[in-house]
Amino acid sequence: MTEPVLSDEILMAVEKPARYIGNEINIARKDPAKAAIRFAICFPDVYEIGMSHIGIQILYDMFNRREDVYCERVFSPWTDLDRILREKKIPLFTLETQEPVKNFDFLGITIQYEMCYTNILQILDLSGIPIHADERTEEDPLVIGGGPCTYNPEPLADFFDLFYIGEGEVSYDALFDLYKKCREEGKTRQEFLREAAKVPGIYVPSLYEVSYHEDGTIRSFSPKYPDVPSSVKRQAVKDMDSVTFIGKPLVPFIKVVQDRIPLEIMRGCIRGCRFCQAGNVYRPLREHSVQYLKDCADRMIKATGNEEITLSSLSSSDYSGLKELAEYLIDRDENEKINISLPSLRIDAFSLDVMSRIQDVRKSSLTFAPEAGTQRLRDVINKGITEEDIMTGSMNAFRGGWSKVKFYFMLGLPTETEEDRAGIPALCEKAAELYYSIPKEERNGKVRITASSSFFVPKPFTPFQWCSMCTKEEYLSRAYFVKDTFRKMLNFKSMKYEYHDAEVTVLEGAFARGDRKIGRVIETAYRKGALFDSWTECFKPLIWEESFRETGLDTGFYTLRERSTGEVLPWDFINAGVSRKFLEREWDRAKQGITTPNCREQCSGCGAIQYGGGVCYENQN
Amino acid sequence: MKIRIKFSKEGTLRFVGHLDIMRYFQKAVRRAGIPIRYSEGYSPHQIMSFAAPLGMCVTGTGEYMDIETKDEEQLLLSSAECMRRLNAEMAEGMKILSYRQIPKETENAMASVFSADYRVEFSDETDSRFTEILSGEIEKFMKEDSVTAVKEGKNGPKEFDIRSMVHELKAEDRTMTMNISQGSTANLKPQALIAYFSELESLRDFKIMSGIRIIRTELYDINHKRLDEYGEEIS
Repeated sequence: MTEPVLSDEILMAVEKPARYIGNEINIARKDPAKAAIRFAICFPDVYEIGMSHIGIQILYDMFNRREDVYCERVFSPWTDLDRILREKKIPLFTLETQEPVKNFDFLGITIQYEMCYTNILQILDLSGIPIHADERTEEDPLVIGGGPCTYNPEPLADFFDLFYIGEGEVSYDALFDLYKKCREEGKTRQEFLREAAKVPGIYVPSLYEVSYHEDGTIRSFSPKYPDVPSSVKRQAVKDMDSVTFIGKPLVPFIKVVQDRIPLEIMRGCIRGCRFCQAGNVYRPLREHSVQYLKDCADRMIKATGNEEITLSSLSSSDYSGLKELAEYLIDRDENEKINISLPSLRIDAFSLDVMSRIQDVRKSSLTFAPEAGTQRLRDVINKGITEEDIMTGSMNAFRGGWSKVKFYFMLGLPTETEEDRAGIPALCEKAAELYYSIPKEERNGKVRITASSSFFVPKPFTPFQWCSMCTKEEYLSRAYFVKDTFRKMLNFKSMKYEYHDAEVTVLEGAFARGDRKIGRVIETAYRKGALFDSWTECFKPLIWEESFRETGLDTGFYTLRERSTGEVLPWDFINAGVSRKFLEREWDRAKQGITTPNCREQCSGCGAIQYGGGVCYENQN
Repeated sequence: MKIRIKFSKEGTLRFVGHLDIMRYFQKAVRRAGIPIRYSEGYSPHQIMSFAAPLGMCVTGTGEYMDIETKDEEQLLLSSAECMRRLNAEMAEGMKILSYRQIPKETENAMASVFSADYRVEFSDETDSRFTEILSGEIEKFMKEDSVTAVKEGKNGPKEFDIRSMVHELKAEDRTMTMNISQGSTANLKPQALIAYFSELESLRDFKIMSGIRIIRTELYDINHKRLDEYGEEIS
């Protein structure tokens, strides 16, 4: 057995010591001496969050299927252990062998949200790896980043040796083989990186240079050498059934955020919501076959003993085999009974029927995401849902016994007016009135409507990548207005309104569309003690204000400016699959309030057809 | 059918708390395909109960849990088969030691626990005179009718009689073994007992609280019968 590297005294002094001991069911055990490549995979947040992420589990499984690779996990030590590791100079370690991360060939970090950027620096720092890629030596692991934030990797360019843009199943084998070959040939780190830059989907930031105009916008972005490609193409699996899925999911000892078997039913989305990065950069929609998923589900249920499974995708209702799959999972023997959770479901007759069979109607709540308060604004964002859809769905749900409803909205969407904001409480009021139109004896007590709004953050590779955001003050005044308007509603006692933190939103906005200069701010803030910025109790806005000031940068440059379509954007060198022309067209249509049909209704020529699979080829045999 | 399972929890598992161990076993039982019974109601749960929670950082070599399995004959599995299946599903450090059917009317493990054996191993760095002095103090302690100790309660420090909960206690070779009250009527944490001795003037300089290892080795009922003395193996 691998004894923890931390002493009993340290483990007893920290919160949830099981975060750091490994030894879980289905952990990968290998002889590290026999693995040509040692890969430390990292989710830069606490164990319970990282272990709830499906991508980590897919890659962990995939890498460890290779005999020559031993992939181990590392997560952010919580602030209590962080202090102890620094004080006692204990290097950060992986869970499997409890060995220092610094001994590994690769440190792979998944970058899921902007507010984890300081945690990335913590991981490097605690591992004893120089924070700047250009200060690393042959002794240091190669630091590689992946995940949604790499669709604009520039704020992190100084800290990573390479980025993998796209889905891991496609190019990792080639990258590992290249690494082994380079090592056998005695090539240096630099020589390897130069070769790696030619692997599809790999971006080596140090091989590109950026110059700026006087106003701070980008003048040029280009490779330093002729053999380095000028554009990096996002990698996507063509046929989902042709790749392996998690064999035996890890079973954590402690309760993690998602204590469920993850079953990915498809990738991509047909909907084309204009604010949604995932809906754009994961195109085209590609489904797994029902048979593939049944086999995966059976295998994972057996391997984990877990009682819950979650069908993961961007819009479950669009999965064409949903009915068959859901029924297969519902009808099982008692000893293999399994609870199904179905996130991102459209509320219609079918989904209500499924949900009434898988959850306690009285206790559970239904979620709608109208995103905007008026039809005009829903058309601007191409949400593809009408007020009628929402009201019919709500009424069916109320008649089915539900009395708790959640509505998700965004504030600060492009072209938003006071009327749109007032539409949020109005929509909730309408739903409440609908509920009370049902005779008393047929309804389930009082209705409870929870509305929550986040502030919109424009993301790269969406039609809104050019648009401006608001100031913190403006966001708050909009939220206050909505809150006040709620108080004027007839049924306001049945409603609750919550809104997201405005300061975090502004930072997120600056990072999401930031350039290489932002790296200095992140580093400064980290040195001043910023860490776990996505945790309300840890977020320190003053540090960030100071850090922007000291580095001579201004969040307004990144958030308050509407960009012209002629401006060079920091992420322009990536070919994410959707064409620039499509995004510009969509931006234009948005401003005019014209909707675009979804992929199954009509092809809009977004460019994702270049991947040669998925919805683009449906009904074409 | 009522089943009593004896198991050990060692190694890194000492950092997995009681609630997590319960979730761990629920999943392990499903993986092993043990025909466990579920409760009635909207959210059925497995019928499973543990004898006594084990403290954090404490190793257990004689732990118990009770489960109920389905009575249908075609589902009946032998003790050996169930142990084989369960052991195939255990994390490193966890082991199933016995699997016995107990009579229906047997009080469940949780209600019947009365006392526990613990072994406390002191750090190797401890002075050789230490055991000698400790033995002397134990001898004095056992002669008393009552000994007051202080524990931190919700409403500040609280005095309680520690002596009445110690049934056996001895020390040899840097190790202390004891039989102390455990369960719902009276419950003593071994840490509290060690803390009491560590604060005595004669032992204060040894810093005995650092580097100790605590092992719970057995659980007994009020008649001082081991919990696995009940029932029989299924053949």
